[in-house]
Amino acid sequence: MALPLNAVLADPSEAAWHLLHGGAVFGVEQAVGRRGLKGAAVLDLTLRPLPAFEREGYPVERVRIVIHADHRVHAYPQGGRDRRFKHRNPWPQGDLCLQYAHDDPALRVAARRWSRAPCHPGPPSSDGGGGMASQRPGPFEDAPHGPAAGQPHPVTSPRTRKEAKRWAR
Amino acid sequence: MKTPKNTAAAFNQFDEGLNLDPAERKAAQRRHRQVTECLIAVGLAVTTFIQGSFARKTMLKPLKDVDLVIVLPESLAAQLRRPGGAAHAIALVRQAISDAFPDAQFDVHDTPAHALQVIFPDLEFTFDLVPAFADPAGTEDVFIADRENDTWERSNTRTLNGVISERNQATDQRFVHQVRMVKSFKKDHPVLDETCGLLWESPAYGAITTKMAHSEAVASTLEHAAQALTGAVYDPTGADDLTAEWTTQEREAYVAAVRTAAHRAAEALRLDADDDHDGAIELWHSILGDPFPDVPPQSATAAWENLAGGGITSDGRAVRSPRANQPVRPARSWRSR
Repeated sequence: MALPLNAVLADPSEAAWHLLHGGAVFGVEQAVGRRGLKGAAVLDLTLRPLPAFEREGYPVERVRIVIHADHRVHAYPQGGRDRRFKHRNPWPQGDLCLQYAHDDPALRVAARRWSRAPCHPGPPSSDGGGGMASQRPGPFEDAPHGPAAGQPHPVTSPRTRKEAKRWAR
Repeated sequence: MKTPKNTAAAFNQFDEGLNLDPAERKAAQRRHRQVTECLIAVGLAVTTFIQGSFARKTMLKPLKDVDLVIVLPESLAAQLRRPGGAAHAIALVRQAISDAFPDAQFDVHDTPAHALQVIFPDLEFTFDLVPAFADPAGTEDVFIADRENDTWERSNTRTLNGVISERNQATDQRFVHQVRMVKSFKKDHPVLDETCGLLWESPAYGAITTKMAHSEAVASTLEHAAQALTGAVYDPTGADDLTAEWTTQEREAYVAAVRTAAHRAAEALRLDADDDHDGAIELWHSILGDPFPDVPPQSATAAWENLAGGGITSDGRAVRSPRANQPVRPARSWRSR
């Protein structure tokens, strides 16, 4: 069941309990919720990879998710200071760039309802980090890094267009 | 076990694996006939009939025991329907069987209150012989011997046999197969295994009323059971609450276990409807255990392919269907610099 962002902000501990025991998200091994600065909610999660990735040697990951009072969401991989990430904003931000803000809503994690974890518990960098994840095949398409010149970055792959159509709302 | 190509094929394999060995079934029928002839010949029976899950065809293999009700002649009622009569009836049956089958052994593994347990050396299973009197009022009930409490207890076992048989006919002979599937689920479940087999025939009876696909029937039964087990659950004849002796803690644990299974079964049906057969079969395998076929593990490449906008199942398999437990919305990674 989806959990509204306002509910997460109102009771981060309850949200963490929901993630750990509600069965809505695969692989949540630990979840702790607490209040952060300026009304933010902070969730520390330990996530097991999908079995298909586990068999390939992908490890358990820890991630901190910060949800600000204005509903901005940031995800920070923990213990990854020495790792290379393709889709992680440079320090001092250091958060994962999980979606392109100017994309069609169909290609973005819902902003108002969040319980489906914004980053699924995939490989070390399902964000497309170096190593194995960078070899992932096919359908995924990244928006080019850096600000777009005037227009939003267009969708280029047929699969992404198809998915955008399927997920249109 | 070969890999099934779709959910229906997987259920058919599952079903075949649950069937009793035909040779054992024939051996049981043959011995039933021989015992009946023996007891009628010595005047200890007017007829016999089998009861229990073997009679209802809802028994899981291997065949362990056959319950045979021996309807005694009314002429013996004056002698046996009095103090000590139930035990005496069992003793008479024992003597007659011993005379006809000298190698037979009695009450070796168990001394059931209602039956004489017989081991025939040439059979892998036992016979439980249950002396009974027909109801003088003419109903199909019988009064079965209870040597523990020295009484004759009313039993509607023939009604139960008839009710299940009728439902089986109404479902194009599928009902008993589907009950066996639910019983296999219960048998393989670490929490539910301790519940009695007949209990699971009730939610099946409540949920499966017409001809249904096996997957749909099992999913419906689990959904029905998740609600039904919160209260009294009567056997399909409506006579006995089969949960009457449960503690509150036991009931909560059973309901939680069935709810989880029902949730997954519903998910498997959605995947099947979206032609995501491997995802559905893997889920059914996790629900129904090793007797149900499985599919090869998913490769990382296939998982990536499906994560482009499909879903993640309760088992953590990435599938094309967004109707899995956890939809995965497609998104383009990006950063500003």
